Amino acid sequence: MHIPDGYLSPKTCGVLYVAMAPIWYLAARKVQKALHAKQIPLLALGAAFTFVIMMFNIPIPGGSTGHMVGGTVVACVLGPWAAVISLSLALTIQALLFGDGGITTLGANCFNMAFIMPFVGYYIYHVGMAGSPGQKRRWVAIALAGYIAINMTALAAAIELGIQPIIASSPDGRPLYAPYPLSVTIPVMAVSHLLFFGPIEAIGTAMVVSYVFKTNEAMLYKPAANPLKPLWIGLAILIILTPLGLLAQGTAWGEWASEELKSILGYAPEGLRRLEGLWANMMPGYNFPGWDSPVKSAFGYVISAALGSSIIVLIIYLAGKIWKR
Amino acid sequence: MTEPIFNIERVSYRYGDKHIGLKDINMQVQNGESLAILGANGSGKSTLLKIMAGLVFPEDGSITALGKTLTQDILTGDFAGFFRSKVGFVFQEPEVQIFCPTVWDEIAFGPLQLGIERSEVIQRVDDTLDMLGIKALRDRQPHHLSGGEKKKVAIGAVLSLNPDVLLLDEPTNGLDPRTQVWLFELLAGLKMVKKTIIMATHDLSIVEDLADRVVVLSEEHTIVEDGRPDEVLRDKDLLLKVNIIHEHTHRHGDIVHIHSHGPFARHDEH
Amino acid sequence: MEKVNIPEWLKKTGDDFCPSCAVGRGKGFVEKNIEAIASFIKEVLEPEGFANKNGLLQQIDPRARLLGILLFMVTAALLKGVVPIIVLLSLVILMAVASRVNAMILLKRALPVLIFTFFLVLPAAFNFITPGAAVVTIFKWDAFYLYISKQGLEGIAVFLLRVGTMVSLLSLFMLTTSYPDVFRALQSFPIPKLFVTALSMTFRYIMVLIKVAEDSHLARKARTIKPLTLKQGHGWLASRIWLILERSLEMAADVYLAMTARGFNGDVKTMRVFEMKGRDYVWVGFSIFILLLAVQM
Repeated sequence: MHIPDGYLSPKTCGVLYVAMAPIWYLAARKVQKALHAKQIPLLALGAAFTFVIMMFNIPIPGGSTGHMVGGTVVACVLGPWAAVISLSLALTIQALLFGDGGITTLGANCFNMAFIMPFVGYYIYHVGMAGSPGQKRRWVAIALAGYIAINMTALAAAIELGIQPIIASSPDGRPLYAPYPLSVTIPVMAVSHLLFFGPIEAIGTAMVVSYVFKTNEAMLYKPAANPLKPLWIGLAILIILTPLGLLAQGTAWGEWASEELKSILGYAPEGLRRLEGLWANMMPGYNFPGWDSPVKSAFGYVISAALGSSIIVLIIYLAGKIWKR
Repeated sequence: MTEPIFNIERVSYRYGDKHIGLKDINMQVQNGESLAILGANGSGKSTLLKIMAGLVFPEDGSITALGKTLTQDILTGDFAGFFRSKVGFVFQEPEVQIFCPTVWDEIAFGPLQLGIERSEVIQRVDDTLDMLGIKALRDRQPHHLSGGEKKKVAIGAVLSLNPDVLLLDEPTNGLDPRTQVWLFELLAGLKMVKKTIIMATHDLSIVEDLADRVVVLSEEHTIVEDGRPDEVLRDKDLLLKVNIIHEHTHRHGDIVHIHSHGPFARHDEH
Repeated sequence: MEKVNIPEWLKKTGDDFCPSCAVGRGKGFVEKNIEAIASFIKEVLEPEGFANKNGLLQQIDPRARLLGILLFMVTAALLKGVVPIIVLLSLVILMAVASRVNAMILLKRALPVLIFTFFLVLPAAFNFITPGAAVVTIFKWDAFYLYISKQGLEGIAVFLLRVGTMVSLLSLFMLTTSYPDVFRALQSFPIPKLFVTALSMTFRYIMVLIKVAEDSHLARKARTIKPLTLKQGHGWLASRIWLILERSLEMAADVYLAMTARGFNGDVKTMRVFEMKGRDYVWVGFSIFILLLAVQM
């Protein structure tokens, strides 16, 4: 479910990058505190491990094979915060080397697979493991963690894709990016992940984490305090319910949820509109006074673009000179 | 007599709670010495080397190096930079010490971390590449290097720090014959310029030709012998007891030969 | 000499051929993994070599190169009409040619995403997804009206062109830049040092771990007499993944020691290698210029 470049509008990409920034920052801080200087090799090797297992074909009942994302596996081994970074690194390498997922959509892909997935998987794993279950119940608990985690991830991706027609269409109703609305993306992603990718992830996750648990339990991440902080459960519930609210169209809850979402997403274009206004004010008459014919206004566009780019390049050059590393 | 570069007193080390790594090690190393630590696999020679390199710390006893007792704290302050530039460690496996994007980056890593000035870093890297004959590998990526090339890069990455002490863990392990000869000549050259060389090995041939002194570790993780190479290597019973060589019998026609074999040891009793 | 007791069954040497071996069974997951690993190694270990040619992009400072490409990608993301995107795509192809990159190779890289995207968006041309002005009527019977809409067609055309252009731009960058330069270029962007250093190290150790994975699979293949059952398959794969995990954790510990032994104390110090020249500024300026043109459309 790596979303390629061009599927999401720049606004969506931007919002999700902005959403990931504090998560990455927080993850880096947590990992630095826990691991100190050891963090770089551990995160890098965790990422390399993640990348390699993402490549594997896993046999499933019926004779075919499938791939798993492994977000829950990494979270159980390294802990959720280190998993955020390792998964982000693995996704970046995939995007750069294989075009598996885009670079503009890296923020979105990381939000889905490197944030939602490890956290949901990790907490459900710990819920399931409470009370030291026997081997069978353990397998089920781990499988469930992987299953729910990947379905939540898929839901997030479905929402990101499904809102594109709402937020980015041309005036004559033409979709500019991913063309399917929520009423299509959510059922499609849900069905494919509930019935196919979900079971693969569940089997793969249970297979690996069970084995590690059986062979060398010390390899798994040991949380310092009780991992089931109510705070996080509350947050998880919120994350789950908000998009579900979108489905409950017409109800008060549905109305509130969509309004919230539209206002969040609408903020970015508001900001851009203000920026454009600022730009127009700087250029005396965006179209220079007297330049009204289409050809002349096209010239106006070109000249203001040329002027703008020269100014920016000059700023970059001077910045480079002043701040020599 | 000048102060020894390493002073190891009653050092012991354990892995977890059960496995003993080293037991009651007492030894000193003088500046400019060329020492071989012999022992079977698992005898603790790698651990001893890592303790000398300040990468691992003893549970009992103490180790003093370059005038200071090595502890976790001491090696996080200003002394760390000084110590790292003086004591170089070459790991057994090249893969773990080649972690930079190119050979050039790898050899420059050490000097850069120590805050050496840019122009000198460039100079040192060029000189090291020259000395090791790997100038052509300058911009190569690690996955495009052969086993022997990786070893050269790993050693170069340590030498660019200009250490006075060179600790080598199983340096000839897995090397093709030509690279082994190259390594031997390099170490001989470094020995001549008075670098202190300490090798953990079970390659008896390199011991004979390079070491001034041999320390033997038993499978019980203690020192059982500490003396000159020609004496220690002639003590067949000892070497057999600590599992560095083995003995077997074979026939040439009607003649039965009993002789000892160690990795790389020579047939000297025919 | 110690006598080795060779059991009777090991002393038997057969010279019969396999009487009933079927040829060409279905591909098991072990075989699929071996192929996947092999193609990965081939793609990474034997790069196309365009990074060494003396073309347009190769002569630009890698940092400026990356910035320019990213700005072009943002431009592609902002364009709304079919014609502007085609113009931009032509520009990209020109850049590829000027950089001595074979257009076919670029196409080969973009093809998987394009084919996938094409089949994915095909239904969106129809009115049940994208209503609007009818262009091609499929059938009309009372209330059931199925047609291909103008908005649908334009929508998927723009979408495909956009995706193609963006993928081509990124591929162009990756083809004209060696991996070490990619990571060095990222250092100059506002990304924390921790991430960039860890990123290049991730790539480095993927190569090591993939070897472990390959050896495991080849060893298993060599011992396969008949296909594994599902349970056996899971058991074996789990143990191999566990092995790779163990190696990862061991290596992480050793790499940390190796880094420490050479003076690392938590903060990686790097050296500025690149110097910006006039043409680099021209390149960046040009990409900003195109972007500003697009913004105004």
